[in-house]
Amino acid sequence: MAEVRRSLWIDAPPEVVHRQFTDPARIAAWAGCGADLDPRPGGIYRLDMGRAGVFAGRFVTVTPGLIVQEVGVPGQAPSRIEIVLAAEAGGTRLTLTHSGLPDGVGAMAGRGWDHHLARLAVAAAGGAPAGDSLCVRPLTPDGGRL
Amino acid sequence: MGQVTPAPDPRGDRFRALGDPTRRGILALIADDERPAGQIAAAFAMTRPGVSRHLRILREAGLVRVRARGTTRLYRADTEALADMARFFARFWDDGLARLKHAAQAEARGDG
Repeated sequence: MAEVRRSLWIDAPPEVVHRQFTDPARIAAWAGCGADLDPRPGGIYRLDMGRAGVFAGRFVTVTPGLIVQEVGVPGQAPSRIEIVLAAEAGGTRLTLTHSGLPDGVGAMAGRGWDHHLARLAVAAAGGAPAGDSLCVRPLTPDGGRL
Repeated sequence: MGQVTPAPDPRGDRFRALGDPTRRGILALIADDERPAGQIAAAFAMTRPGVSRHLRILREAGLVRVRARGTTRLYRADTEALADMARFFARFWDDGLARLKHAAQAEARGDG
C-alpha cells in the first residue's frame, strides 16, 4: 500500500510540538476545520476536513516521543499515522509516517503510470502547497495567515 | 477502528470506489488501454451486469471515462483523477506540517 513519509526540524521544544497533535484547538489550526479527540491509548480521533470529509479513528500510543493513530476506511485495513518527536539542536526533529493508504495508484502498471508517478514523486518531495488546500486558510510567504 | 464519512464531494466517492479490489483491478486493466465492457468482464470472469455495476461506480466517482465508437462503448481510467488522489495525502501533510511548524515556533517564542 502507499505511504507518506516526512521529516522536518522545528525550532520549538518537543513538548510544544507534541501538543500540536493532542490539543483539539491546536489541531484545528493546522490540520482542518475542527477536531474532536481523546489523546490517550484507545481514545477517539475525529478530524473534520471540510469538503474532504471527516476522518475518524483512534489513538494507539501517546507518549512524549511517539504518537500513533489508526484511521479506518470502510472495506479496507486502517491506515496508520506515526509521529516521532526527538530533541535535536535545541529544537525538535519530527518524523511522520502515514502508511496503509489506498493504493489505487500504486497498483497501476504501464508506461503511462510510470510517467505519472515520477512526476508525483518530484512534486511531493519539494513542491509548493496545493492551490485547493482544505478549509484552513493558506499561510503567507512570511508565515502569517491570510 | 473508525471510518471515513465523505462530504458530498467526488474525492470521497473516489476513496470509496477504490476500496474494492476488483475495481482497482479494472482500473489497472484500463489504465493505458481503453476497452469495451465485454472484454473487461471476460478478463475478470465476471458477468456483464457485474462489470457494469463496477464501471458505473467508477464513472460516478470520476475515475473512468467512456467514449462511443460506433455502437461500442470504450472505457478507460481517468489517470489525472487517480494522480490527484495520490497527491491528496501528500498535500495534506505538506500543508499541515508547514502550518504546524509555524504554530509551534510561534508558541515557543511566546507569541502563538
